[in-house]
Amino acid sequence: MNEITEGHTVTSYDQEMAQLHGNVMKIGALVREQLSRAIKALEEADVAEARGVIEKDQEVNELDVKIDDEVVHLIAKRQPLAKDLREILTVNKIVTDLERVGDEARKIARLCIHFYDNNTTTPSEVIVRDMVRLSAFVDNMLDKAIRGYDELDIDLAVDTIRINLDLEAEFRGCLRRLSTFLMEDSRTVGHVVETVLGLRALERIGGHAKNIGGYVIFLIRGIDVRHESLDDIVDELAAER
Amino acid sequence: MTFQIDSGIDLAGQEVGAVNSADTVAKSDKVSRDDRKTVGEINHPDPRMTCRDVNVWYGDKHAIIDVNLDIGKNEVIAMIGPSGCGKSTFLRCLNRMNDTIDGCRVTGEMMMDGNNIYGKGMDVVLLRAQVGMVFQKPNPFPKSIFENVAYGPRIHGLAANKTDIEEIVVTSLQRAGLWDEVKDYLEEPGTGLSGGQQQRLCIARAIAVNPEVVLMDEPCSALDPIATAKIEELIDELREHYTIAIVTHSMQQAARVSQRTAYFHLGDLIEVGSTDQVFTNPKHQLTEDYITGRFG
Repeated sequence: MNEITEGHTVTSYDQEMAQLHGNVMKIGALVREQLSRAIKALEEADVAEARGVIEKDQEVNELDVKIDDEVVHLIAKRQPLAKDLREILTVNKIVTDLERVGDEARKIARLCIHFYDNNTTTPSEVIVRDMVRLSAFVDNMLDKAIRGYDELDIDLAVDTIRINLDLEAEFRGCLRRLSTFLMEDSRTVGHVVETVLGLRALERIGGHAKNIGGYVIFLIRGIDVRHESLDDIVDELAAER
Repeated sequence: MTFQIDSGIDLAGQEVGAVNSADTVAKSDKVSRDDRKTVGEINHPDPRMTCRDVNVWYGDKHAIIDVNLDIGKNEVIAMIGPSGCGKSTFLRCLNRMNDTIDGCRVTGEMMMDGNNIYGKGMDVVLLRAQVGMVFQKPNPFPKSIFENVAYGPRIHGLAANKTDIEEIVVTSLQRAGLWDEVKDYLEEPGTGLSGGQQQRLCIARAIAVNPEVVLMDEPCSALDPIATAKIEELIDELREHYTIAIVTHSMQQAARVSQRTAYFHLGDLIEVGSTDQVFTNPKHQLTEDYITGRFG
């Protein structure tokens, strides 16, 4: 709940906005849990847990559809304007990104099954370690992005965009380490290729968190920063104050 | 704050003097005077009308407070705000319709093409031809469709002969989007048309005298959605030839038809800006509260 979900003369409008807001928080928590479970499954070679993640993705998809439906009804019924309009448009975009975070978590769960649910050799711990580290990175970004939306906190939103630059650098570092690993032992090529895809999934999750940060800035300030550099965003926000 | 009476006219024949506005306003609203300064760009690069320091009183009631606003050529400007905010009062000042109200007093400067419309020597009848008006409820004369449109040009001497009059009537009805529906019934009474058609007849009547500005005071509030859509489409077409100022209670209508929007609140012009900006990212909290339905 925040100032956008409150204060309408028509109280049912408040309730509908609060419900929409609550469902965004719900899908946000759900995809973070999905990511956390997928990474845990990978760390612990827990194939059953990985299958659980894949099954639960259906819940994320259903919530995505439900929120889209609420958005359509709110637009049709309330003809929102100003911050209500920005909230509803922002939710529509945030939810698309969060649903894709769920898809990326599912990819990581599938990777776990590929690694551990067959009779071939399991990957070296060294290969998996970078994924675990990177997942903590992107989970922090998701946390900031979702809290930025919940608390209408522009600093958290900007932080998310800032951290994405570090994430990109980390991602490149991981790829270099994997290349070195591959050069040392070319028999690991299968695991390395799969791990690259896993790292790529995590990097994409960071990208989605960064997108959400941009939407939150639009929600709070009404300016579109999606295709701007961090420096330009900071300057523009300073000029708007 | 004391308002100095500039070129104001005491329309009720009362003595005009300095008026202290602060007390009147402070009692009427919790929002401080500083918080009600106009936000946004009041100037227009190509103004048709320029209003400066406009104040209006109905007796002791200070209905419009220090309003400054340009109305641009060939633009549609929407005036929105809660009931009693002064939007209709301001609109009616633009062609001195408030002159007819007892106790109404207007001060400040309202210029059109370099002339103060409240200045001495202004021909009010001529002004109202230049600044036409369409009202909330369609009010055709109890005459034929043809005569409803022909009456204005005839009394203003805009036509030399019958052919000229006919040409004006046809052009006006065409511009008002009514010609195809009435061309075979021009001698029928205007009051026999549907509400939407009557309103378009009133628009045809207003534009028949070749105005520069058309004022519309909630022109669609008595119409069904289809008739409303036709009027809105017409407003967009009329913009090519005229400047249009419209007062509406429908935020969606203001958003659809106008290029600029002005938000009034308890007599103050709170915010003015491009319609896109005002409806997606208003700068003033009062505007935001009003257009999002948070007005307590």
